[in-house]
Amino acid sequence: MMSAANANPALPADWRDFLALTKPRVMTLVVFTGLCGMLAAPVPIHPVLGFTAILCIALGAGAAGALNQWYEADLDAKMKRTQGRPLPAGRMERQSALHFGVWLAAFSLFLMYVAINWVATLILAVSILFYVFVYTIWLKRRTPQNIVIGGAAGAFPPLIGWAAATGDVATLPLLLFALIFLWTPPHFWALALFVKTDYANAGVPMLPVVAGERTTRIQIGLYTLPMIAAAAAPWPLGLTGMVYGLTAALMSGIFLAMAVQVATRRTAPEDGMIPEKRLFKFSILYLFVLFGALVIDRWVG
Amino acid sequence: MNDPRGEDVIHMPASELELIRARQRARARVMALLLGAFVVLVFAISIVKMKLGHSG
Repeated sequence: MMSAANANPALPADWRDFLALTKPRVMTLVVFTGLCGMLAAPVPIHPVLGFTAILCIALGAGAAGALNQWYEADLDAKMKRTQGRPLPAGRMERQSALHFGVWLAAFSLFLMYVAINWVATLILAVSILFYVFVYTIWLKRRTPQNIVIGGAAGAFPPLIGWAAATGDVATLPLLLFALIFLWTPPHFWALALFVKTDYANAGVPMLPVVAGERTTRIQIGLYTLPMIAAAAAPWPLGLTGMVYGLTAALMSGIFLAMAVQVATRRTAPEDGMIPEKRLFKFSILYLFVLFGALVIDRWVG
Repeated sequence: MNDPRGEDVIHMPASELELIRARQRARARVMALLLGAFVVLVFAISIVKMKLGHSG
């Protein structure tokens, strides 16, 4: 359905709406983890090539976001959190979003291949395809495990950054991949707990909708444990120094305390879901701080 | 008129036509900026690759 905002089909979409299709806020974390993966690599990369690699990661993530919004326009229209996006709000035609996403993906891969190397290009391609086909099209509407498996899509950037610098993949970027992969369930389930109604209205089988709050809370607690193990592993394995190790220990301790609080409580009537919202916000800070500490650790070392 | 949506545009109020033109101008400006940036980037990548090729 077209809204009044775009009742005139001749009105071309605003360039800001194309920018919104790329999910710039999500891209911030993607770019940051990709950059840190690159800076943590033992081989320095020329700043121009490093900038190009990060640009390609950002464009690839933007393309995946645009294709996600193209496919999920009907779902987005049913959820408060997303109904203001360009497609559900009727400010853009679906075909424009599809073309934009496909061309942006192709461009990011082309540039990565020409300027950087085929390993980084391959991982970038896998991450885009995984997000669009495995997460968006296959899993999201079918299973409450959607964000568990789909979380892999967001875990690729440090691998891509590392591969851009070195041309291969090693243990440390694989551990960073595991960290983001295992971080995704507690992060998204904390969000799902306080926007449960939204997901239920849209028919998205998020864990709180399908299995209930109790199970979701327990799962948040359980997934936090291997996540912390992945976060801590680089230090005892000798892949990082003390700066990263101590930061990871401190931040993981706080994360665990918050996760335990969320896991052990029950929602009261008129509950403001404060611990869940706090865990969700802290989980974003957690990744930023850990990846930042990784880079500082490299510089100090 | 060369506009593929010519029929719609002809019967449109002036204010809407102006809005369309403003959007088109803004998009053209952004596209020009992006293309310019791309040219600069390709130039910089070429120079760096040549330098790395010589030093390697």
